[in-house]
Amino acid sequence: MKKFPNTLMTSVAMVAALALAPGMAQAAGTLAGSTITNTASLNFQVGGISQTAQSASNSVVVDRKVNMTLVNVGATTTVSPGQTAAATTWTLTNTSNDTLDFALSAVNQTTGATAQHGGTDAYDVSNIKYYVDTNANGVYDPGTDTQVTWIDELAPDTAKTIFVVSDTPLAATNAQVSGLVLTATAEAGGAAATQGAVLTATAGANTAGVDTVFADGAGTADAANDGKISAKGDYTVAAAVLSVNKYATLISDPINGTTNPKMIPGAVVEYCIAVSNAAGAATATGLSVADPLPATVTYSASTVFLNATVSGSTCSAGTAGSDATNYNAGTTTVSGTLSNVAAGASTGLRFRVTIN
Amino acid sequence: MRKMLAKTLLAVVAAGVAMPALAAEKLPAIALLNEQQQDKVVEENGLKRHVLVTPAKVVPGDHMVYSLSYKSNLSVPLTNVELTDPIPAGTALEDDGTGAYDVSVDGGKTWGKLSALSVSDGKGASRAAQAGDVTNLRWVIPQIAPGGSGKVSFRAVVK
Repeated sequence: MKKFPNTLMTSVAMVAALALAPGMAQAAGTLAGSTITNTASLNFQVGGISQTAQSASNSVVVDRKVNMTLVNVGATTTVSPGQTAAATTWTLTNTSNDTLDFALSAVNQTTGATAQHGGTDAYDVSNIKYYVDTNANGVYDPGTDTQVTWIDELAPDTAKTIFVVSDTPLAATNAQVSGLVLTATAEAGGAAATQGAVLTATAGANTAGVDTVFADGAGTADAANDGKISAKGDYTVAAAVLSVNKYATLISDPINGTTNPKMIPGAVVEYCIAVSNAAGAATATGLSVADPLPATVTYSASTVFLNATVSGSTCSAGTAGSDATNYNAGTTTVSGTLSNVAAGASTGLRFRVTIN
Repeated sequence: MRKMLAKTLLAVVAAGVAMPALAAEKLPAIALLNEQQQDKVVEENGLKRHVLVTPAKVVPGDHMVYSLSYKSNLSVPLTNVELTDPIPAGTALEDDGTGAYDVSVDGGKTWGKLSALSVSDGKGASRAAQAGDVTNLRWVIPQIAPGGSGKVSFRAVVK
């Protein structure tokens, strides 16, 4: 058969889908409020003649089983000291058999507590806000993702990506960790854009209505079967840890030349301003250095080199600067901007002066 | 949870009590009672045991036991008795009762023991049927003696 290959493919696919349907696993299960009815029928004969069949049935209404998971997504959120609106990412999944609202509450961990990614909580973030991943790309997009105070109408077996956004204080230092605990509390759903009441497990005997049964696991800061789920997330500060050193190397003097020069008037000295960034620190960007020269020395024209190689206490090589840019004769200041310095790397600015 | 008990047997019993003089054939020839219970695990002194209770707070994952009782009201034998029960929507059969009943995986069109049935695996081939694939149950009782009674049951889990 050569005709209608597309139609054939479609029908094959449909058959496959239909065949899968009965065995499909549903985490949330039969929806709360559904009625499960069992009807049995009995056919029989008397004296070889079929009689009217008997049937009997009974029903049970499925109650609300509250269950959900909350996980912190990905690695720790890297922040700079003073960074505002840094997001940590979480996924809240409703595995209940009912549509629910969820209240959100994120609190700082106490100092010294172990954070999500193994660090120790050392500072607190502030200005905590909650956003949902409106465009479902898993990344916090300021201006696109919607700020919320609770999660509205999360259907069974669906998940929402939640961003907890906060500010890191300027005083935070490199490698410090701030831990958060986010708690989601199950609330009654059913009315869109209206936050439902916090659910409570139906105490005592079964009631005629839809009862509530808590089946959630224990979270970081909550017990099992309490209608709450909590999980940790954290921020880690990545700051540049810079050290600046100034080294002087005697190049020559008017009497001895470059052989064993002495520090006498007229001698040429090369200064090396070395900038180093510690291992494990964030890359330092936007570096600029300035060195106002004392009155006892005179800048040697066209001797500024930027991004010099630093080795021990000496600078070498580098890119030639220009006196117009890098030397201010009025203030006798040598200055320059340097390229970014990665963790564990260094750079330098070198220039020469003559001793007056 | 709302419970709607089958009224079938109750009505039969009431009729039988109120009108004892009526001829047996005025009663339903056979009374059928459909009961449901919930299999709950209770823990006492660190030991877990199962108890069957009146369904209460039924949620997905709970285990139900359905029991079907029948009693003949006739003074003649009933023959070719066939008791059928579709698996209640929203539940899945847990086991085949070690072959105590016939099952159908196609809505009651064909019947057999679970171990002998197969279902499509969704990839063009077929695989052995499992309890969760069962759609209908059937008990075939060749004959029920006058006044005879019996009880069958099956277990289902709330999906």
